[in-house]
Amino acid sequence: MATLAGRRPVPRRPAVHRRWRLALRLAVAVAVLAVVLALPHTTDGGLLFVWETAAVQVLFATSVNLLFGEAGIPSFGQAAFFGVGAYTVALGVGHGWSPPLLLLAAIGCAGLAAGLTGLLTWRTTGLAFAMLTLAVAQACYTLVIRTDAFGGFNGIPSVTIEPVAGLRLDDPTVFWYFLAGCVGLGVLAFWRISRSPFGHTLRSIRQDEVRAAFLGVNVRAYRVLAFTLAGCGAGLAGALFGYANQIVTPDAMFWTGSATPIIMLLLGGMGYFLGPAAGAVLFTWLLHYLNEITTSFLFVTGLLLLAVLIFLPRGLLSLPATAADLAARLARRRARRRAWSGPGPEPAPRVADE
Amino acid sequence: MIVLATGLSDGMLLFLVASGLTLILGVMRVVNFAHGGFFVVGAYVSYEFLRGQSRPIWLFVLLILAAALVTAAVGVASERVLFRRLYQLPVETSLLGTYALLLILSGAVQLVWGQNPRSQSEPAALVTSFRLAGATIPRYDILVVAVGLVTVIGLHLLIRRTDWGRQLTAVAEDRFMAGLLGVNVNRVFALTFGLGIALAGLGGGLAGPTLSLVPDVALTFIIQAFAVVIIGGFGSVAGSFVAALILGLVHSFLVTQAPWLADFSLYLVMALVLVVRPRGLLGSRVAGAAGGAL
Amino acid sequence: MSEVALRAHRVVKRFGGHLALDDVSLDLAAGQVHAVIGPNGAGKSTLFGVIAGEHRPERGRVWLAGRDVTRASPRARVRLGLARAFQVARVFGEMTVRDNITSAVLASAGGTLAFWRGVPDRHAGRVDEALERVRLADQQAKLARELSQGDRKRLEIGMALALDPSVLLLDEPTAGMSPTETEATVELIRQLWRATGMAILLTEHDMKVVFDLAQQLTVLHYGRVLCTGEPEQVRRRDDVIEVYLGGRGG
Repeated sequence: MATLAGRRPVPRRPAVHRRWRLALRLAVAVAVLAVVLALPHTTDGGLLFVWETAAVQVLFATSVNLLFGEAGIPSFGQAAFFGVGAYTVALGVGHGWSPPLLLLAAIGCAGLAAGLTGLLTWRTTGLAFAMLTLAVAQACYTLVIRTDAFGGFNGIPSVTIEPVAGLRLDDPTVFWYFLAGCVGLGVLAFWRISRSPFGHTLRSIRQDEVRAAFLGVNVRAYRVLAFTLAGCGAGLAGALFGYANQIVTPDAMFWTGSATPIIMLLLGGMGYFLGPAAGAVLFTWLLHYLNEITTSFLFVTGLLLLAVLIFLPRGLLSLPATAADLAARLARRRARRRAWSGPGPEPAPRVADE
Repeated sequence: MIVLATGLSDGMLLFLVASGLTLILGVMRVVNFAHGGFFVVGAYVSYEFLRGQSRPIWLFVLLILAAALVTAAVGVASERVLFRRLYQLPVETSLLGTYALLLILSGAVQLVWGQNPRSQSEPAALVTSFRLAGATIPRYDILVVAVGLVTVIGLHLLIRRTDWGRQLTAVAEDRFMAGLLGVNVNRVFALTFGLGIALAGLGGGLAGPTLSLVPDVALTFIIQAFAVVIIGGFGSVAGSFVAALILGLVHSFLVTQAPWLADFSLYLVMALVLVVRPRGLLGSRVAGAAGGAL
Repeated sequence: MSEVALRAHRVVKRFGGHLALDDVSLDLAAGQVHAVIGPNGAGKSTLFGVIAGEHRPERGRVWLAGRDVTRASPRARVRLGLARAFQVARVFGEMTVRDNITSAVLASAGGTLAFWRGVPDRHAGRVDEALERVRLADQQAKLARELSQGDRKRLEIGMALALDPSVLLLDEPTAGMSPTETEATVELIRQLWRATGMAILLTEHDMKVVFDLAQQLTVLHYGRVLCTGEPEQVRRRDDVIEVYLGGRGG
């Protein structure tokens, strides 16, 4: 994996041999696959739903990472596109549309909404952009609450999933595999995007958009497209959540929904492609347990977020790299001590530039 | 007439919250998501001091001022403990840091006072309404507008006429140069933050009688306040004042004319301003650039 | 007179009350190395900004490859063959040297909005070639921010070259370099110029560099063109010696 980092300096990975890295990736893939396959047989219904939520959040957080981690676009309104996906499915189920069609429709509608938002906000950057996306999301939320067709505050109940080609998707086990497969495809798509020329250019825009513009890059077009693609991902996640939850309420669009994936990708580490995914699983379960032991999970979530920001700003996945970095620094210091074997002061430690 | 009164009173409340936000943004270059949290703390502490009862006006004003001071104390403490660490971090991270503080503050309010709505009465003399030009206007609106006007004039004098105001402006423009010229930047930061938070607390106390008090109010108000800051222009107190009044008036006008649209007024005005004039109504190009970099 | 690659015609640019460029005209002939010199504040960087599309002039026109680009975006100018290096090298610090060059190659290939493809293999050759040309192949795995100032400037030149420009703008290519680095950079620029035949417009404080490289000189003074001509002629002009060269004890 290349460095995905932006302004934040990231310690380079320990120089692992290419073959080992491949083996590591393979091991991760096999482990994930094993867990996914085994889950429905080892977990009871209630907990399987937590896993379903986690899987949905994996996709959502990965899509948000395209914006925050790769393009450096701070959107605080991704819940809107998650919601668009969820409501597309909820409304479509009422008309008897089939799941594959509805998932595609959800991706399309959310992408369209995101694309329009991107065009609306194309003159703004930074904080103004962040607030404008937040405003768009809140406007969507208000719209949903005020509109009878969307069920108002109560939302749309009985979002059931139809069988596809004789496959009974309403069976919990089958549905779990279906959901995990969709999430997997979505995450793979974002991996592809991140490795594409488009993804490469996004990362360079993130670091210095003026330099990128003077290389002939159409910075705004990249921004709008990245925003649209992230919207598509959020839409798919929302659609899957609608099926899993079997009811779609305005909560799906509430602005805290935009903040959750950001916390997740920070928790896991946004310099890593799988960081948001790891953060999503961890955070979903954390919330689940917090809800059982405390009434004020807001308070605990805030403390947790603060702790990660201050003590582990590059996320949990950076733990090995941070440790390796620390070890290397210690080794260097020891080497310097050994080299210094005469009168005169100890040589000054090498100061990192910048 | 009722449109005007409600609009002005809502606008003034919004201005109280937004002025602190824009001060902190302009001087410290920190986007303080936690501002809404301080607003709620101010509202609940006022409620605690007043015990929800109707009090004489002087006592009411005195107690919400005291609550604002308590809130400011919490703010300054958090500046010492948390915000000092955030200045060096990339903007996205510091933004999330203040968001974390927002969660902590609303969570704390929830833990102390619970989720049940509380209601605070107006001061004794202002419970009723009066009639003017055929409209019924709550007397409490007069107090809100008066406090808002006193605040905007006070802020103006403070920034333009006092030595401290000059230091504040210097730090806002170039904190490095100001530091070289002998301004104690840390002290200016602490005072600015304290002042900004006190305004949020005051806004909370003053808003108490106008809303049903739940911890979630933090979220609603912070979004509106941010809208005001953006529409008015980053770091511009005067811009915030104008923007807050516009938003208040547009909202109360739409409530009577097109209720369905009223809830969207905020987003409509904001989108319009940002698309036409990204740096806000009274935002300078420099401050706008700083905001863009944020 | 040979073909004109870039023309600035009677350009006026103000910053507030300050007249940064006052009626400045300049012709850059295709394939030529042309230096703009002048004391600090003479308007060299502003002129570069106007040519590159960073600043819009109040009056005057800029032509690139026969097209009027006065109001064109930086991107449009790159498409017409303009590339630039900044005074303080701007590279993507958190990317490797190789990824930096790849960014430039992708940008020049156009159509990189393709998000469904991998980075095409055919670009790898061009990246290698560009790395080789600016002699950074052995440092390609380093992060750009870890490079020395001189290497960073070479990297930026390499990125500019990857765009296959017909006009290259170099704003003080040797600023902040040691004498050895300066010499190597001058040699590098000369070689690159010979190999590509592009036109180069550069500003420079180091007169040795200017006289080593440039075939044409334009002297700016307080935002006005003092004179333009071949280095030997310019060197002998009394007014030039007075305002500029003389002041440096040359």
